[in-house]
Amino acid sequence: MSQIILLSSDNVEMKVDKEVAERSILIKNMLEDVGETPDQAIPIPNVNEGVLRKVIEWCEHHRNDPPPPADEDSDSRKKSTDIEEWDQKFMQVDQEMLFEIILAANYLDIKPLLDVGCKTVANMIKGKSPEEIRKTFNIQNDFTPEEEDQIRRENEWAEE
Amino acid sequence: MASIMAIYPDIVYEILNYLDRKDIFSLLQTCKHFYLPCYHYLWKVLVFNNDYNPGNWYPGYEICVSKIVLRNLLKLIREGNPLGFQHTRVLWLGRPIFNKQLRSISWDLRRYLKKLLENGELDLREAIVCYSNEALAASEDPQRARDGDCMVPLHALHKYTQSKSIHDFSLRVEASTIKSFLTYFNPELLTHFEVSLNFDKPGDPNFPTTFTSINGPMEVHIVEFRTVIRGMVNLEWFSWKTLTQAFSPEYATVQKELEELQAVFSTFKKLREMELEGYVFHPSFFLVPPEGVKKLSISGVMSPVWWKEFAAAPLTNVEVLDLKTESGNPSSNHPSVPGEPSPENTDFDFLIKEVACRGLKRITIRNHIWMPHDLEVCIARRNPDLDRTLVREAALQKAVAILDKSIFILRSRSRRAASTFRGRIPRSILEGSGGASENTVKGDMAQAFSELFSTDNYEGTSVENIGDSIRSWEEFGGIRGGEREHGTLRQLRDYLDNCMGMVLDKYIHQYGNFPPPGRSQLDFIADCIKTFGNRDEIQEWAKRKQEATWFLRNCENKVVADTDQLLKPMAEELADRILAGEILNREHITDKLKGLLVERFEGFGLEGYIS
Repeated sequence: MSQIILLSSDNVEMKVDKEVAERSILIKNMLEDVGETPDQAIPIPNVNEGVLRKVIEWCEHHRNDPPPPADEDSDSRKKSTDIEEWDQKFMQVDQEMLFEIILAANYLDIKPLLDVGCKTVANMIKGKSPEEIRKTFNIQNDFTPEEEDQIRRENEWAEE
Repeated sequence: MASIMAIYPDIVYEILNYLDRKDIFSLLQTCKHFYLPCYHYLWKVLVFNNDYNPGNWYPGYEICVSKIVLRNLLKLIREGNPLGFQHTRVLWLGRPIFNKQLRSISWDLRRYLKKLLENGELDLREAIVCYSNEALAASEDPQRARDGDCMVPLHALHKYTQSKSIHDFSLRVEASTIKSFLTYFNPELLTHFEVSLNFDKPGDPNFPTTFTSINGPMEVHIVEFRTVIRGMVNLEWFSWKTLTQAFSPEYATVQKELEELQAVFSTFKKLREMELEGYVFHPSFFLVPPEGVKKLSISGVMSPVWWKEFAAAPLTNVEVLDLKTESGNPSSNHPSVPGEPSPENTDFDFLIKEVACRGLKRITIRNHIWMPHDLEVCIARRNPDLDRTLVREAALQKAVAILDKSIFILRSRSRRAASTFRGRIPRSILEGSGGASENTVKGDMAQAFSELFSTDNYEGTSVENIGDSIRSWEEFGGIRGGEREHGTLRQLRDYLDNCMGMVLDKYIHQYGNFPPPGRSQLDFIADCIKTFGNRDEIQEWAKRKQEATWFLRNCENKVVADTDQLLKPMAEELADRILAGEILNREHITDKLKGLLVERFEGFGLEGYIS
């Protein structure tokens, strides 16, 4: 099986099966453009070694997944937040890593990984009050009390 | 390093897809980073709907708004708050907007929406509309002046869309009527159309139809339907549901209109998904899907003629096919198709022999009643890209349906055999086994049971009949009706009961039936009195009789339990045979299953008694 080399943002080279790397649509398209398996490392400038290893681990495990159905347009469609067991364990990382993975999945165009990441974050938000959400993600409240009041008033219809 | 603040709006939208309105509202309040994405998201699709989600448009989307949400929104509107209507791209006008129960709320909301639409304060890309018969009727009824404006937002929407083209605006309509349809909708803008029809009894003046504008025979409705949909040239998704099948015209009387309707459908070049459910005008009318259709779902009553047309249709681009027939009692007759050519064999087991479709990838086939026997194998043979596990699943479903029918037959046989058997007591129960082992008695019984079970011969008396016969005689001398619950009396009564039971058995044994010809009630009483003294014999008989009853119950339970156990392996085997193209003989299957069941009586001492 042919292998390719990926180069992380902190200049670490990683050998990966082509098939695994092609879970990333970005890399897949890049390889298709080049036409043949390149000898040099492909730079992934936005992703550091730790995150890239994690992403490759995910791609290894899901290397044989069938492609998602193409005709299903994904606009504004709410889906279940169920996550399969392996992915749940995979996502048990600190928040920094979680968001790095999401950003990397988005950059590398790995939709199923992005979905798992977003679901994980959604599950951390579900059922919480604004204050609890701030605490969970260490968010600084940057509204003035007046702004807060107005926001609540104008949007409370959605609260029910 | 990354924190949640590094997540930019595009990805925030992805996350919001998994949250409901309340959670989004919570996130919106946390900080400025999330305020705008959440605010836009909340307003982008503005839903005034209950939980009905036609065709699963926007699957999983929180499509339902409660009365409280509507009321809160209205309060904000009345207070003159600046709301996010300018962000709304999709407007969903569902039932609550037209609802009578929410009268005060919906009345004001309707007026407000009209204002927004007329003043150009909305920039919509799509509208989803529930066009309901009730709302239309209310708007046309002069007695209900306040409801009379139900259609106000639809009039406004119609005006709003007049300058729009399909490139910047589309409509999804869920309709329970097509009356005045073209007054409210520009058919060219429709991409999705779900229509549910209720024909009531067309032509009968006492049952005016609510679906179309004219009351008349079926032809009239088909013509009106055609007029309405003719302009829907941009339709991508179409669903047609009929709610009743009260009326079935002869095919010949509607054939011309159906052909014209077919011609209209053939012009829907953009249609990708088509769903037909129920009794679509006629059980023999196979509506050929337009060429571009990729997903086809059909469920309802279909005649053999329909299946022939189905088999002949190339279904050029169909990849996903979902077929379901109307379920019914296994013994009910085939949907009758009066006045049309019948295929060679309208039996349950009719065949199509060949299908013309070639491009299927996924199928589901459900219910298997009135389906061609060779449907799965024909489809599998001609569609190499078809998902094999789904083919197997379809064959397995068919096998289970066939077995279910056999099991239904066998279980009722088992019930009848046991019932008949209780009335036809084998000699050994009456007389004891003469010192032989208990197994002899059980052997006698098991043989008798399995004979009855196998031969289907249930002539003669069953216990139910005996009960009735006894009841038809008068009460016995007041003993049964005794008022004193005295221990001795109760014992005596039980003993007498047993005595009567034994005499009854002897009668049946001797005369073969009950009541016996030529014997009167008085004879029976006299015989009971004569027997009454043989205490040991009666007790012995009662014991054996009780054992026999238990044994029979076990036999019946065993048939039920064994069929459950046999079902899965047999279904797997039958599925293999179906896929190998074998035409299963249902009688053979029933016989085989029966044989297996009788074999399983071995545990009851049946060895050597099975013929």
